[in-house]
Parts: sequence; C-alpha cells; structure tokens
Amino acid sequence: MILEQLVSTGTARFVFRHFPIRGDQAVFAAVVVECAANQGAFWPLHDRFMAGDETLFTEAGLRRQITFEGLNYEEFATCVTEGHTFPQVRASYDEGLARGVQGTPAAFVNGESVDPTYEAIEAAVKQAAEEDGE
Amino acid sequence: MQRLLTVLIGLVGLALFAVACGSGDATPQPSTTETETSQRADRQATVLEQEQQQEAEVAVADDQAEPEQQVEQVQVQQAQSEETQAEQAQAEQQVEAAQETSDDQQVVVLPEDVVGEHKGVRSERNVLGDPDASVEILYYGDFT
Repeated sequence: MILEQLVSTGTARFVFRHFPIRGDQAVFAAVVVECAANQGAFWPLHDRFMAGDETLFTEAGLRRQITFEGLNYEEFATCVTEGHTFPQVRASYDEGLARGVQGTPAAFVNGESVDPTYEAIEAAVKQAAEEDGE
Repeated sequence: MQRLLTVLIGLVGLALFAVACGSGDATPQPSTTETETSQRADRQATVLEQEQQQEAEVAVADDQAEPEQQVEQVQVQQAQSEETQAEQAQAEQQVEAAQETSDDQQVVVLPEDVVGEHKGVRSERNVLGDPDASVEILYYGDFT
C-alpha cells in the first residue's frame, strides 16, 4: 500500500474515516469493518473491502474472512446484526460533513483539504513536515 | 323241643338285631375314607378355582399393563427415530460443511498484496503509523 511509504518513516500517520455515501452496502461494509475493529482487525477487513472483495457482502464470505483472521464470528455477527458500530460510522460521516466532505475519497493533511491522490498527499505531507521542522 | 325254641329265639333275636341296626337313617353315610376324599376334592376344586381366579386377575392386570408398555415402547421407538434423524441431520450438516469448506478453499484465494500488507507498520484502530507523528493524513472513504 502506497500510504505505507508515507507513514513508515514515522513522519505521518494515516487516519481512516468512514463516509458511506453509496447506499446500504457502503454502510454495511463500514459497520462490518468497525465490528472487526472491535476485535482488533480493522485493517485486514478494510483492505479486503478496498480490494473489492464482493464475497464480504455474503454471510459465508464474512464468516470465512472473520474466521481466517482468527476472530470470534459469533461475537462479530452479533455486532453486525445488531448494528453495534453504526453510531461510530454515523459519527464519522457527520464529522466528514462538518469538514465539508461531499464525496469519496476525500483527504486532509493536517486539517487542510488536499486532492485524494498519492502525489498530492505526498507533497502535502512533505510540506507539512518541513513546516513542522522549522 | 326246647332246643328248637332256643334256636328260634336266637334267630329272632338276630333278626331283631339286624333290623335294629338297619333302621334309623336310610341314607347311607359315607365312610371316613370317602369323606376325606370328598373334602380333598373340594379343596382341590377350591384351590383350582382360586388359581383360575388369580390367573384371570393377572391376565386382566396384564391387559391393563399392556397399553402402558406399548406407550413406552412407542416412546422408545420415537426417541430412537428422533435420535436417528438427528444423527442423520448432523451427518448431512458435516458433509455440507465439509463441502462448503472445500468449495471455499477452492474459490477463495487471499491475495498476498492485501493480506498482511501492513506488516511492519504500526497500526491502531483506524490509524496507520505512529499515532504521535507530527503530520496527520485524514482520509474519508467508503467501501463500494
């Protein structure tokens, strides 16, 4: 993942926020990722969804992935079906709206909106790091 | 003549004695042996009757017990049938699970560029990299 090149040096940290604007599936995926995060597996599920794994929208696929990650599927399933993490997703969405986010992806570097491309983010990170060092 | 009279008197006496013995109850009395035999027969008959009565009672009791035994037998058969069905269902589930697992293993190949791609990079919930890093990249996204 290209963002690792920006964060592995310790200069920057990458924070992901949910902004599900593409229907129920997007909300479901966000809830799923946060339920996995409850058991310490945010990034594996995040990465699978980002990779376009459609099987995660099926129970069998989710069960397989959650089991593969070594998580408790029953606990996970309860979390998803009862929407335990929906408030977190909603809060993230509302926060994005407050920042002026209108679509995805959207990126900010030290609070400043930047074009959500690697080049733009890299340039913004370098500039912010230089300003911090001065 | 006197001897003849004596003989006649003797004969008359014998006849009278015989008549005296033969008079009284005209019904012939059973002898002691006959009475014992009769009593034994009566007892045997009574015993036989009692035995038959007891057998009849036992038969009735058996008849009454039979439905209960039949119910118990039917219940046992039902339990055995349910147990068999449960075992069959479990076996089918195991087969299905095995098939599903097999299918999953065949279909799903976890790409190496996704699994474990964050190895070596510090990560916390929703955060990659050093949480105390001076620069924050805030990224809003969705998964569709």
